Amino acid sequence: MSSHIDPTRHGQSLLAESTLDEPRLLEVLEQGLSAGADWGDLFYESSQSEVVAVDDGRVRTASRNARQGVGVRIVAGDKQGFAHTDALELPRLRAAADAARAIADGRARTPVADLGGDGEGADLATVRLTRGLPSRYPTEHSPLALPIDQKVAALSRLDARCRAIDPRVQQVMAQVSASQQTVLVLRSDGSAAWDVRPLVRIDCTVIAKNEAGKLARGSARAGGRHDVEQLLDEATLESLATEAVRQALVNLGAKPAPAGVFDVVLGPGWPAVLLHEAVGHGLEGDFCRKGTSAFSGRIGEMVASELCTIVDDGSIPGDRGALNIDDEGTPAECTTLIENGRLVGYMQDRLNAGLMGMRPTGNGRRESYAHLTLPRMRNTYMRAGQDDPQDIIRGLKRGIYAVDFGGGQVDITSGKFVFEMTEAYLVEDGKIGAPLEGATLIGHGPSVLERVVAVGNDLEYLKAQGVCGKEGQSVPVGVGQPTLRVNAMTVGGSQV
Amino acid sequence: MIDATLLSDLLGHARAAGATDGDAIGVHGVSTEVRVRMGQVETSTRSEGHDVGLRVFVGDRSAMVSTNDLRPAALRELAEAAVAAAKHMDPDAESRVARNEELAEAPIALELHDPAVAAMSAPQLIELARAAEAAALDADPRISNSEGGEASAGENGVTFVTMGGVVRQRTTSSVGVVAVPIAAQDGAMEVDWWYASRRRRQDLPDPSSIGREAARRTLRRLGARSMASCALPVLFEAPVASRILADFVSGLSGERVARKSSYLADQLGKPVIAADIDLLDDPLLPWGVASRPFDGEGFASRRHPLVQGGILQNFLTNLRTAKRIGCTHGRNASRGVGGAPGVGPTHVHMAAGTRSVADLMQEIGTGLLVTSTMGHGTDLIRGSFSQGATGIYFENGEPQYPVSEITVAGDFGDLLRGITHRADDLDPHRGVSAPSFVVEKLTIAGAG
Repeated sequence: MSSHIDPTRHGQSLLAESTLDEPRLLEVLEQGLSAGADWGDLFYESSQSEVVAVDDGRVRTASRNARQGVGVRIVAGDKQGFAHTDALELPRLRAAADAARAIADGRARTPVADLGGDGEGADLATVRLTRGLPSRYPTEHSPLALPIDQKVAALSRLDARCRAIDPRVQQVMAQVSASQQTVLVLRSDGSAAWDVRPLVRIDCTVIAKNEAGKLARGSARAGGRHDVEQLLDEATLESLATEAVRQALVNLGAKPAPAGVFDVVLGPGWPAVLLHEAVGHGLEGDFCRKGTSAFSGRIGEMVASELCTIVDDGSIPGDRGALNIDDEGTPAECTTLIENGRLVGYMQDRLNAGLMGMRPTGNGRRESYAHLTLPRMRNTYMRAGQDDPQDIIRGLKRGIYAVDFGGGQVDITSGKFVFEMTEAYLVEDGKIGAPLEGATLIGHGPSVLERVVAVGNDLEYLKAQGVCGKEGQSVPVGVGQPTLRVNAMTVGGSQV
Repeated sequence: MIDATLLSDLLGHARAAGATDGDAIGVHGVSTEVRVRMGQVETSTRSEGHDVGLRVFVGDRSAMVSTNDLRPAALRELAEAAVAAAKHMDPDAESRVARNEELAEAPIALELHDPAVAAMSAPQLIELARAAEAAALDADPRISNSEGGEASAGENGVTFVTMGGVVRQRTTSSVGVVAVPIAAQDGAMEVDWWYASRRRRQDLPDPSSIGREAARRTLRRLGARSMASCALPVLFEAPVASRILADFVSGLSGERVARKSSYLADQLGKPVIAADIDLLDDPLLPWGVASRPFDGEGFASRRHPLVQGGILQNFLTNLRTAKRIGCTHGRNASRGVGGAPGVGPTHVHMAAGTRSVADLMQEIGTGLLVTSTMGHGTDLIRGSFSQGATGIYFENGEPQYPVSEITVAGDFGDLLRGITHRADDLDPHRGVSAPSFVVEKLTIAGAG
């Protein structure tokens, strides 16, 4: 699955428009390193994005954005100096390098050659980190190349389809987003890499209203790092419309959720936001290094039931969480975090891996050139188990079957996390019963997975379209899981 | 500050490409941000950005473009792309740019920029961050670790120009300090935080007071446990009460009303909150963190009543949504460079009561003091509330034990109408702000 876009040629031609090139940027980085830093990197980015939306029956908003800039990071021990600018002129870049350099002022510099870095030598800008890797983005052209009128037409059809399914549909809000991010990572160890990353998604939300005036919402979505055309074909539009309207109508008939402790069966796919919140963030290297995570120092311990194997995978072609390289040039891999219940690994960027004596795992990510790199998730999922999902539901005496969720949040220090059900049912004697109105579920990350008592054989990990927020930075992520049963979760309904 | 002529030129390119109307916004921001952890500088960040956004109309069709590439050729290309995109959109007779005569009222001059903030250096900020963190670490031996102390200072210049030639400009400054200490006891860790953000340097509180408050908030979480499900009076502490008020104010957005995605859409003239509460959107507070002389469409700012005596009076509206839903134009347009004018509040302050939180606990007797919430569990479409919470259970007005891993839930409208008491602790330095308030009864779910 090779890309027809050559990242290096594409990137270098973009850079040349600013009368810059890799050797000049390396001089800037060298200047930043001259005060005695240990290492550093320079990140150049040029991104384009386009959003077209239908709302209130009309495709009336379209916006297009183009951004470019350079971020320079200088690292001394665990200190980071960072400066960024959108003025791609050498004097401004040099000023940024000076601002970043202040962090290391007065230190004796460790010679680059002694770093034992992962470059193949000091022949700057010639060591290509991506050489030989197949691209994980199955695209042949920029997702922005599609003429806007085709997006407008598809959204009009989606709006009409939703309204045609049921007269109770009052409102349709849908949008198509497409972006392409071109990045250059230049590192002080002499290595360099370009990546050209497409990202597309389509969202469809409907609001339905019944005779009593009650309002309810349903939504559906699709996307990934691939062409935009496949989101706009008739089959995709039909499935989005059907799913969003179905969920809204289910929710029109929903009853208030109960309050208290229940055994919960989580459906496959997006309900894995549980994993993202309950264990994912707590296994990010920065929190673990600083001892601020409830999982700090627990490698080798059992943190989940033996049924649970959880990975964070950046290597799934076309997936929303896929990356050829992370934002530090490290190839994105599939990192095992929990294996048969035992904690075996953290997600690492270069800074935290280096300080902890561990290996970078390709989890170093940043929202843009204007943000500092942090250890971040890619696609975090639980591997399939043995159970038939129908048997898992049949085995539930009284509890909740939750199949769709909004977002979630975690306090990584105490381990407490929440996530919000948007489609759920009461289960009695193994039978799915009345739909329940949305409610928050709350749990404790380090112990919740110990109460996983059944794992289905129906892993779904390609459909989620997550946006993860950390320290004010948003990055696209995926999540996935098979059907799971978790005992004794607190359900925040209003009926005692 | 982005030069107004750059935006006029951009609008000129759009006109030459066939645009019939338009407006443009430019934002120039400079800031420095530092983080100190365990007494050592961890990060020091210097940011500068220039962004421009253009909205064009071709008749009643429109499109938006934005960039930070200010080279003349790039701007011309951008304007042409916007016009080309607009031609493909559905017509929307309700969208338009403010007319010159509507913008004739000059904005009130508001002082929002303090040169002393803009002049703050990284070493000065490091001192503030270090002082805040040190005060937290010194507060108690159980404060064992830290996510750090942070300080930032910056300034923003906003330039707004219409194709009709109206120019608006404002400059604001902002300085802030945050402390995030971690406490440990019996092998369990807790974190909480406190901050202050101001426009003027002289208004910034002593950073060590921020650190001490952060430590107090963290320490009182230690030893928390869940509690049995029940229905109880709930006293929401001011920061949580402010989040609840902010959710309510989001439900007043004319955009949500137009999309039928707010339970408040048909509530004009009806009781939506306790009868002794008035709410007003006030963009004109001196040195206010959310003050602005003009809104996102260029209109001179004015105060906009939302609720009087608990009765809903108005929604938050911009030009389009006011016309779309047939309501008063509140001059509430928000505007980023990247999109069409939205709708948003500036300052909405719920008036304080006269008694302290402790006095209110005495009066209620038994209940739950909610000190923080987690998640996004306010559903404005359905009008329901379900949030993860931490807090302190109290009896006979006295704290009994800290509580966590519980949820608090109820009908959102009933919650707001059920506010029975307000404390004296309104923070005026927030945009949407409420004092601690009591709700007579909510459902608590937990494992007791």
